[in-house]
Amino acid sequence: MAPTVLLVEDSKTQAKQIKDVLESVGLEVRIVGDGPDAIREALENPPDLIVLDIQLPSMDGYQVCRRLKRAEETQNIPVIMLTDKAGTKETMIGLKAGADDYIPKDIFAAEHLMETLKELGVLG
Amino acid sequence: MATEGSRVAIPPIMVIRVEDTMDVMIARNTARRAASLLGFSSVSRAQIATAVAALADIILNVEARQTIHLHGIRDGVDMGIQVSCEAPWLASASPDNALIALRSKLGDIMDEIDVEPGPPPRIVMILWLDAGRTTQLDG
Repeated sequence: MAPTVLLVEDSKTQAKQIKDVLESVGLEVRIVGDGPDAIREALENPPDLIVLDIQLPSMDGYQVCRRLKRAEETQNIPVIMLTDKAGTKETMIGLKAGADDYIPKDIFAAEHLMETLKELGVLG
Repeated sequence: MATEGSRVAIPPIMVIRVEDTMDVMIARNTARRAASLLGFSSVSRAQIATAVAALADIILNVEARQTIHLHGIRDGVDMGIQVSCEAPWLASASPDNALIALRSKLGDIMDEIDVEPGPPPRIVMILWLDAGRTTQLDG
């Protein structure tokens, strides 16, 4: 069975682009568009990995990550933050929230994402 | 290999010329590569890449063109990554004030942030590779 990824991204265009990258290496991708849905989905159907945007409606990615890392059912699921907010403060907030990586959405994003997926053991 | 006190520069040794905004992305990517080669975990790679991108941003903001140097560093049994660049724009500032401004911008993202007196002054940052920061690859 293919490893599953929960992609939390409110932009449909970006969600499609990221989904294509993840599916191209054999991962199964489920998409949700906001924080509460992400938490509910992660609790009900724990994925192998969560790729999380920061700017989300109703609840930001940092809050989502903290909640996921506090819950026993989801605390061991790796979380990769994939975001436009690439400053020093934002990165440290993301990593302190428990993210396993913090990747800016730039031209190298797909390459960095693949490298981290290998390190986390999500890709063989 | 270069030495600095008991600290020894070790591979990988990489340089990034920063002249425009595209170079910030390249700097970030190069830093991740260097950190990866040294065995830093994904979390630490993100820290190092962000610090290097912030340094590249500073270079662009002062309308300078500078080269950022990245290399591994060994001090006895300790290993880490060092990031440095010349900072002629700090020549007129007191080293203390320059350091306060840098630390305000970079926070606690690196273990060491220093401004070595010139001429020209040089910004030097180090992140040490401790047990919690190493890659744990499966197989």
